[in-house]
Amino acid sequence: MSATTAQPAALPLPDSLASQRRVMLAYLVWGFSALMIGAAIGPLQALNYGGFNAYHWLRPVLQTYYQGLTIHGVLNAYIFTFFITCGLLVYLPARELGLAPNMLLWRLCFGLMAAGTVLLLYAMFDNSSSVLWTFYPPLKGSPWFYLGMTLVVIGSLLPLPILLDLRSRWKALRPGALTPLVTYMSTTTMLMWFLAGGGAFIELVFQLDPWSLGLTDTVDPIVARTLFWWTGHPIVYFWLMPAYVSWYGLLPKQIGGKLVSDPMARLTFALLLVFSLPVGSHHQFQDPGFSPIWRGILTALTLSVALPSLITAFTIGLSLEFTGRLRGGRGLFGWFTALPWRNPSVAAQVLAMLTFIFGGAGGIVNGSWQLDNLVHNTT
Amino acid sequence: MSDSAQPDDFEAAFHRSAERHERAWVMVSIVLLTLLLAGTMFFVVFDYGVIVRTEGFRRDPAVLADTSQGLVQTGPNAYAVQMVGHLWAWTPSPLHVPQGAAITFHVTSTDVLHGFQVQGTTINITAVPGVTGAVTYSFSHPGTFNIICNEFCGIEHQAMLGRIVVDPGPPPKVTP
Repeated sequence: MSATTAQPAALPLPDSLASQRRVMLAYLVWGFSALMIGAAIGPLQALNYGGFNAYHWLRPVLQTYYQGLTIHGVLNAYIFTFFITCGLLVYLPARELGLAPNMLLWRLCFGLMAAGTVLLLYAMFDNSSSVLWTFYPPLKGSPWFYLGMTLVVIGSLLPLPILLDLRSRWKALRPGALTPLVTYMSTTTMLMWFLAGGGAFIELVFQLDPWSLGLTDTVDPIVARTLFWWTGHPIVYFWLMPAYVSWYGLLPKQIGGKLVSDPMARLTFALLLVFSLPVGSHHQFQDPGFSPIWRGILTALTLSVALPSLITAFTIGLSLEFTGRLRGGRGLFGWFTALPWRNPSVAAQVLAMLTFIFGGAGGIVNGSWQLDNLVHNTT
Repeated sequence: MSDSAQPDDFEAAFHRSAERHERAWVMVSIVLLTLLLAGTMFFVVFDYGVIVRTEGFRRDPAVLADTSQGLVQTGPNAYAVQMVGHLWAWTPSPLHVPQGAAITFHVTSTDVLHGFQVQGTTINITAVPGVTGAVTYSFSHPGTFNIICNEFCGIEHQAMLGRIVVDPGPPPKVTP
């Protein structure tokens, strides 16, 4: 055990949240199980690119490359991330505040997403819904696919009321006290997702569900694309912000140091809340009727998202250096090697940051308007 | 000492006042963000054509575009062509175009989404059923260019290819 398990007195003993922890573990087990299935298909795609089609041997489980790609995308991008986020970002604030969350809502969230996952798995594995994770109409999957997706989206919106209720109960006991950091960051993430989730919700409930069930005959593909990307781009912040919660909220304590700037952490999340929302249409730069002015605005907004990430790189970097020097690190990079690398949780998070620097830098390059034209809609 | 109580009173009063200001600022920020969102959404609708001012790029998806004419001359050195994506080919293909002329492609689809991309050029526009997009390009060198589909459209998506053959034009005039 590292020194980090010594909690401030205000925090509850771990056992007072034992039942919450069991629910959280259920979320984690579902999430990582989805990742296991989804990621297992990744090598098949690599083999396919290498000129080797492994799908012949996998019938009747998997029929085609695109079926595998759909399962890969849906499980990795939606199911894995939604379960991890909705599990951790309710448990961590409850632990920080020492209050029990609304278990009925939290279990309902789990139930809806689990039922949605089952429907999605059925629709994808019966080879009726190879529409990829973007599921643009009028390419059509089975109704089970869209209904499953609807349940997953509705379920993922439920942690917001849980967190708002937790925070207001805590505030009622301590008038004037500042919301603790992890709760602030988690609530901001869920607020962002509530605003962003509207697009997918409207697309599914008003367009794709009735259309796939045969209640309506037609669907407007341009409106559907716009609604999809309203949610589809901010979804990356629904994955990113929980990682930031972990880096800001957990890592400084795990390495036995402190976060050097609390306001910077809050500013980062406020900026992400603002910038993540209106940029999704940059995935539609090549659509007919898209004006250069609007593209310019979206390019600027897209690059603005780099700002909170640069603040994070600085603040977390400084927090790491603070601890590294405290532990006797000397010189230009000595503080980095002096970090507690033997703790796998620390090593995993710091290595994840290093890879995120390359990923983020690549994202800024791909954010350019001109490159989007040549490398299709990758911004 | 009475001082020991006073800082608490001061701090409490300070905090109450600060919170009032903070609430005001939060309200101002929320109002600004709401205006920004409303303005942005208005611009999306007004400019992008989600609710179109003009029906110019909308067309009846039931009426198929006429691709039989092929390349049509529209000016001294300008041509236009109706390019249609369908499961799983581009029509017309192969398309012969003169080198150096401004070619306008009017791109649409008759079934699902396709992506009209010509390799080695900046031509890249989504083919959407019910909508016609336009892109203009001049091929500066003769040769054969591949049209690919860059929007997933079903089981033969990767094989949805077309060809554009750029025929050599007259040698460029040398300006004195």
